[in-house]
Amino acid sequence: MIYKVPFLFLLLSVNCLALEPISDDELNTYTGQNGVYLSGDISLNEVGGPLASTDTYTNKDPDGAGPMTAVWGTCAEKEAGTVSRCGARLSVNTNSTNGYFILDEMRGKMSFEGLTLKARELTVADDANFGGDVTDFLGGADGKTVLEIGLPNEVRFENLSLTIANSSTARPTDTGFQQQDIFGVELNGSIEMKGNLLVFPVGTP
Amino acid sequence: MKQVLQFKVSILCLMVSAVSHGELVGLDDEVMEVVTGQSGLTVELHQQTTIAEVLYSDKDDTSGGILDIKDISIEAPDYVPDYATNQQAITVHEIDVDGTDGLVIKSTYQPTRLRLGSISVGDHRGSALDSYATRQSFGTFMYDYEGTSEIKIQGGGNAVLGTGGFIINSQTDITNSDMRWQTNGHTMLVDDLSYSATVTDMTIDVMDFSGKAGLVFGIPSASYSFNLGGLCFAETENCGVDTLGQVSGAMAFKDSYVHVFGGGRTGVGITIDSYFEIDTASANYLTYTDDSALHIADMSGAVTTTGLTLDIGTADPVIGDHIAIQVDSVVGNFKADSVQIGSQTLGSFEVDYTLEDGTHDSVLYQNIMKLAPGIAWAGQTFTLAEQTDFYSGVTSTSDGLSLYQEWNLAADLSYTEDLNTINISNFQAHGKGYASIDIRNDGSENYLALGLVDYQGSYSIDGFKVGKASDDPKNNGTLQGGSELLLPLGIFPSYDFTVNGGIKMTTGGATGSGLSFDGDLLITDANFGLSTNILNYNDGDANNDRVVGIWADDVVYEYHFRNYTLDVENDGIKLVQGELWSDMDIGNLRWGDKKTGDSLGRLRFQRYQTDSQLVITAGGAGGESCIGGTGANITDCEASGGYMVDKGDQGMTISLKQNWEQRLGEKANVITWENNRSTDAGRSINDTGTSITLDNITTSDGYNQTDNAYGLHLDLAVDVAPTKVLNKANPTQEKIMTGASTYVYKDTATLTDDDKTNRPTGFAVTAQLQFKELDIQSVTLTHGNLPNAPQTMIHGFKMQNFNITSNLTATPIQ
Repeated sequence: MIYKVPFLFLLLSVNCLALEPISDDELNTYTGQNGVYLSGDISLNEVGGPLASTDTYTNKDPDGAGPMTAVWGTCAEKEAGTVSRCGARLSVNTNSTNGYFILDEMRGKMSFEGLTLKARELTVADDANFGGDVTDFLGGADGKTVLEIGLPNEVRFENLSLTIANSSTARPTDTGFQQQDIFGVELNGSIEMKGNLLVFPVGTP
Repeated sequence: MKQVLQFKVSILCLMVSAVSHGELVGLDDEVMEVVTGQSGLTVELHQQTTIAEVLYSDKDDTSGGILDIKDISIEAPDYVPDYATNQQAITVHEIDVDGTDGLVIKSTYQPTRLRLGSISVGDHRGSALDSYATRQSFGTFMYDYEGTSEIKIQGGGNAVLGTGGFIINSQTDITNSDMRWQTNGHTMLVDDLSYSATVTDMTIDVMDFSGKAGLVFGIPSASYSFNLGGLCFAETENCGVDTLGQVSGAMAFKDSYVHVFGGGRTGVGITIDSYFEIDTASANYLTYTDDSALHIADMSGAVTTTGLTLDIGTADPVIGDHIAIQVDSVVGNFKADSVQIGSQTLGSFEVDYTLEDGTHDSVLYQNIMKLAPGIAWAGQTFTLAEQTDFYSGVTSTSDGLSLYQEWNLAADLSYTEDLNTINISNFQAHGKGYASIDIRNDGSENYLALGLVDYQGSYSIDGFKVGKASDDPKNNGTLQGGSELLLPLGIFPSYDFTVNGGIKMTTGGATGSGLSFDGDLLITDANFGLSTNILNYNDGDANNDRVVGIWADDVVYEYHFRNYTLDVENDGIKLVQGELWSDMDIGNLRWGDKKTGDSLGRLRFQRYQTDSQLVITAGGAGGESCIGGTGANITDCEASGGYMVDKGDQGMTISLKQNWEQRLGEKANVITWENNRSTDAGRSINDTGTSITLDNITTSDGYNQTDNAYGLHLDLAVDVAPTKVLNKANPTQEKIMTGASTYVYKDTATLTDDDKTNRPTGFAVTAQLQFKELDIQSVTLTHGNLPNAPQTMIHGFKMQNFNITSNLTATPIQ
């Protein structure tokens, strides 16, 4: 539920987002605006998830081929080798019969200062930055507003990791589970961002 | 010509029943001997009185009507041991005249019951053909009481002259009191009430107010305390276990007054002006006790009421003749310095409020309450089938209360915790609509039936102002957003709605006392803001303010709930949602202006949950935490790129647990986005466009599709706390506050410890979302030309073992 709004933006990304570069001079004009400035961090499975090694169900290697360790547990248990996974897992079944596409063992932390949300009035003159989108949106008249997401100056990532894989079953505890990892990603460091993301609807509602 | 207020009780319409048992007890010689030689007079009254009818009329040539109370009785309550043989209530009055205290009347009341058999108004009284026997009534009211009172009456109550008028001192102590409201034989019982009231040097006089005479009650000091044992819906003598819970409180007022004038809003009636100020020299509190307690204390404030009128109104188009209560203005301030749930402190709350006439969208909203007897919508058919069923349970002659309410409110709300304040700026609410209340029985239990008919309401806020309490953010803070962080709770910065439906309410919670309720609601013509901004705010010209944002417009929201319980337990307020299913159909998700902004299309959220719950507990995230880094102390935290934040002990945490269930008939969890719809006269027609559907979204315990005890957990800890705000133009600098709204930017690397304590205060929400498994059975695409042939795009999502935490703090844009 908490990700409803960002998820919505994701759906809109095909036709409703525009990125606007912004200069230091323009940044200095932000004083006294309405809206909100957000700072903080978001983490995923920092210590593990709610599935636990103590779960009542058979939280074990389902086909008996591997070691009979519990599948789910805390990240401390995983580091100790007593469970095999502590991250979040997303399985997608793109057809009704043949296996699953998996984003597995998703973990990590992201922090930022200065993500802003505000409404912004657009004018035809803004079209220079958006390659025709604004003209279409305004329909020839100034004054329509969009959601302006001011990107944070710096987004820091800490141990943001995931594995991309194919799997025979959706759950790692399902009977007959087999998984082929394709590759893994781990991200540490920071990304510098400048500019605004404008979100607005176009097309026929 | 204005007609004189008429109380026709004593002469025209007081008809003492022929079977009245009122008695005057004679004093024989022996008793007289006891009386003789005492200072004053003792009167012992044994009464069993019935009064057939009392009429109050404010009717004149053009307005007004009749309030009719029938079958009044005063006697002993039926639970006294010898009631079968003696129904008389005994009252003893000792009357004395004292050189110091004036006329002194000390009274002792043995158990007594006052019963008002039937109350009706105007054309609801029925017909003279059957002596008004068939009528719509508010029901029957009974008041049982016993106790003592002492009243001292002196002369000299005129505040100006010092002579004339009266000065009243009184002390009243009532115990074992019950109140009952019965409709159609079913009872709401206010059980085991006791209270004490003290009035000191109250003056009563008639004074001139610019040519208008008014009865003046000057109240320099008054106080009360009370204890309510319970409230329930039962015909029994006592409530037993399944009650609302215990309520107790104490309050004192000072320098207060009540002015009463003849003449109502129209013609004859009563007008009242008043002022009440809480006397903080006396301890005050209000405590609700269930398994745990909600305790409000250290209250302060004052309220001025101007032009409160009482009339008998006529011919409301829906509820007919009625009692009309209207007020020109109510202006007040209220503050509770201590609010606790259980042993945990929530913080303090303050509200400045004004109720007065106001116009919104060219519609005038006043502050009016109209009360009419009977159920005006008995047997009527409504769009919501469950509402039709709700009103099929009563008839045109059933007892009950039908009411019309209209209000216009403006307020500023502040919440302070750990010496930091968040102000909800310019809360505005207005609305108008009808409702009904009566007590019914469904064959197994009594319940309160609350019906809502075309009840239209609106509220909005400008935003938040946040800062240290000592900087008075309400008046000095900078307006900001941040309500977006509360969207998961269904809290919106703006909401317009019209609601119809029925709610069944019983007492007794999930455990012990509390509340239980079922209901069905249909919300239409709704618009709620998801994120709002005011353009041109505070530019010196309020007329050019323009509220824009993201809006859910043209919303139709059907909401059904069963087996809901509300309890206070374990330091929290707990709402258990036994079963709910709902369908929120957002016709247009708009950008920009509320009703005319461009639309993203239609969004529809269908929900089906069982055994969900919402718990509000005192105490937020609590203590120090490292934001944006790791480390248990400031050195480690800053070395990792983070910063330490102390969120203190206070604040509040709101926890949601939702079990999203498998499809059952039409009940399911589904999200649909539709656009490219056909239009008719400019309006988009649903189910004619292209849609994408996330179907049958469910939670489970992670190992199969059937076990679903864990659900989806969302915990939101709400605090007001300092945060790190970077200079957008130069991110190496931080904003450091130098006053309530003044600040400088300093290099982060050179900040002193003092600088860090002066970081900006923000609205801080720590959120944790967890679920063991969340499934989406399929994602389908449907084209408008083939509405019954959805194409499956994805055959299933399964998300497992998610634990997402966020620490976000909202401050004004720099």
